[in-house]
Amino acid sequence: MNFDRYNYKVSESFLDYEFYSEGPKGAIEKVVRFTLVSSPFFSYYNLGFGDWNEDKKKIDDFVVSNNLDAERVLATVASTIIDFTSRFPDVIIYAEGSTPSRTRRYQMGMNKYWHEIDPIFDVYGLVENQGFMHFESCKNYIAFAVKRKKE
Amino acid sequence: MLPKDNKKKTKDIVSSKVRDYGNEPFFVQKAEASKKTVEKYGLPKHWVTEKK
Repeated sequence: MNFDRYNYKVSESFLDYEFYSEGPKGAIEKVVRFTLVSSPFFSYYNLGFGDWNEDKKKIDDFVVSNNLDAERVLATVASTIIDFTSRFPDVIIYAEGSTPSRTRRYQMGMNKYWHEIDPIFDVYGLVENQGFMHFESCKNYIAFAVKRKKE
Repeated sequence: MLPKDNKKKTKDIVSSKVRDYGNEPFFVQKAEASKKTVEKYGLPKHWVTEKK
């Protein structure tokens, strides 16, 4: 996929990705974590994303860093999904923003790059009170689930 | 069309220095919240094979 994005480092387990956002607020460390969630009936990886606070030694909940590079950050997160699923092609990824506006931002990113995403991934959007449905750009979703298409 | 992702310019690396965020409360809580949602709605049926 053709993205303008940041370089990242990935852990040896391939579950953790770190990269730096660069902008007027300086260098802000971003983290993407794929967390396995399993039950007798399903298993998937939850995509978590946040800013690392080096002083507090934790992820900052809900912080809005506003480094004027939102699109590049989102592209980088998308790249981690591509990388992770290239290593583990059968996994399901679930993603939900920390706030509705962030979920909306994920959707806007998918709309923009849909012509590149669709050939590679099955994408479902979660409609409140209805369930997962094939992704359509005109609808609003509260979360997403993606899985690589079989080659 | 955006510039191609030039592999010569990307410097993604696998590193032992990347932290393990498996126990990071933020990610744990998000995963637990997602589980409640998925239990409520279920994943797309044709993706799911029952575990034995």
